Amino acid sequence: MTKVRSPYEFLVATGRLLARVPEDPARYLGGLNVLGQPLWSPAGPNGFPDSNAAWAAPEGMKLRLDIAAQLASRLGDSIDPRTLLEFALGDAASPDTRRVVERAESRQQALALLLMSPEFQRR
Amino acid sequence: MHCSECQTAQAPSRRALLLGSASFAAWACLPKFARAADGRDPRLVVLILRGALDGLATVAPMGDPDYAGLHGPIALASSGPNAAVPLDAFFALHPAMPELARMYRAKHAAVVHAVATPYRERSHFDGQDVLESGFAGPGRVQSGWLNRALEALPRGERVMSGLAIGPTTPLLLRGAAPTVAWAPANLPQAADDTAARLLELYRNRDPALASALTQGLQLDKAAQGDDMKPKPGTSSAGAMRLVARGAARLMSADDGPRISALAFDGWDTHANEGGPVGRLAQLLGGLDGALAEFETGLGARWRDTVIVVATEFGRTARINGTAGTDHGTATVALLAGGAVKGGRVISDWPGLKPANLFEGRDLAPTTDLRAVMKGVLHDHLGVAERVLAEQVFPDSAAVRPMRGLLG
Repeated sequence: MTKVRSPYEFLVATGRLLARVPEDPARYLGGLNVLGQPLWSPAGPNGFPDSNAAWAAPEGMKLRLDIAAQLASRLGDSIDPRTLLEFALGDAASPDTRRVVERAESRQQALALLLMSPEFQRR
Repeated sequence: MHCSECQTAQAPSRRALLLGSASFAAWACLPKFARAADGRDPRLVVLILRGALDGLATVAPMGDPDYAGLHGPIALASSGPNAAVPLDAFFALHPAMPELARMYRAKHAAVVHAVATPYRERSHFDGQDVLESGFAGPGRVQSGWLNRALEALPRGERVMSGLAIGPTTPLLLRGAAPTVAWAPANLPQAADDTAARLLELYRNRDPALASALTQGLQLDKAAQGDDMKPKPGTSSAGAMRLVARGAARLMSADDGPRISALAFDGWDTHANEGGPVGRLAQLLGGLDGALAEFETGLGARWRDTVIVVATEFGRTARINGTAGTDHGTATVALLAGGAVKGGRVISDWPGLKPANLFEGRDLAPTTDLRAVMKGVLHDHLGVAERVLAEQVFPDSAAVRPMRGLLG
């Protein structure tokens, strides 16, 4: 099984998917702090961990969902989630992921679910 | 408007992240007639329920012999604990809405039943586009019908006092006429429905993430200490009240906005919809509380207020295999406010016999929602019928404004 993206990889991938340059870096830096990977500031000289145990932890996944929902509430209704799904995942999208995004109750919810899908969360 | 990008630059705290499953936006100008000689100073709120409201569960056709069979165990009952509240000899209101029932008795609330937009497919995204854009079919446009109606009003001085920047302006109110948005700071978002959908996906595709997220959600609930008794502001019902309270306060000011739009999420009840109590009942209770907050907060202005509650489409007449309902067609629109000619359920009832159901499964639409909106815009704000037919709801001349909703 592939590894879960680190918070840095997750946030950068999100910004790239939505074609947003970090015009307000505070949003990215804040997200990294909340998710436990402050930019260039690991707790020790051995750097940040690179394991599922570190990044697929319960509190971390809940916080990723909060961040995805918050971001989607701001940006979700300006995109078409069906188009974005093709762009982000294409043939790699599982039928389950496709269904949950297409059947979301709003564009905002669809974007949050796309960002949190296993395909987008894992490398 | 894109100013939402410049808000709150500090690193978000644990709870400050959870902003907004409900949003509010308002027109930034006073209409010129607001200070007109006759003293009438109308206020209009359009409240969108995203996810498709079950109209048959909200205002139940108790007198229809097929209703109880179709809605099965979640059907409302006319007697016993949590009995539905009779509105007339045929229809009854969900028991989670005592405030709306009181307004109805005071003739300050009305129901339009078997109503639908012109959209006849079953996609939430497209259905919401049609509801908010005012166009006859789906397709992304840059402005909403309420904004285009505002463009037709005589524009007075700009209203800015007390308004801050919120998450996003609904499509309904986007367009050339200037708007402002506001959201309560640090409003905790109850993304329970989103979390439930994600968990189901993880369970099917990714057991490791399912296990992590399940534990994370439980930790979060335990930390809040309110998993049994939601406090105001931490549940979606509390959030609806909070947003309505703030919106009413802004709109009650002498120089406050007269026309606004809100959107509440979470109405897509595919599973465990519940009957007199349960998931939909909690949402309806939140909506009921929001209407009461408007009445209280607007004070003397309530007399000149109309609130229209609408959703993108209805739900199937028959319940599904997961004790919920699927995407349907016709539903209800609710009107509340002192300016409403209330105490009535307005409906050309199509009946629920199998042959009368739309595509054999949905309550059939007999009233075009645009007729309701046009009637309100015409009688409440004085928007001309020709403007309504050409600009506000393009190519809708065949849909006449519904008359007599106010007064």
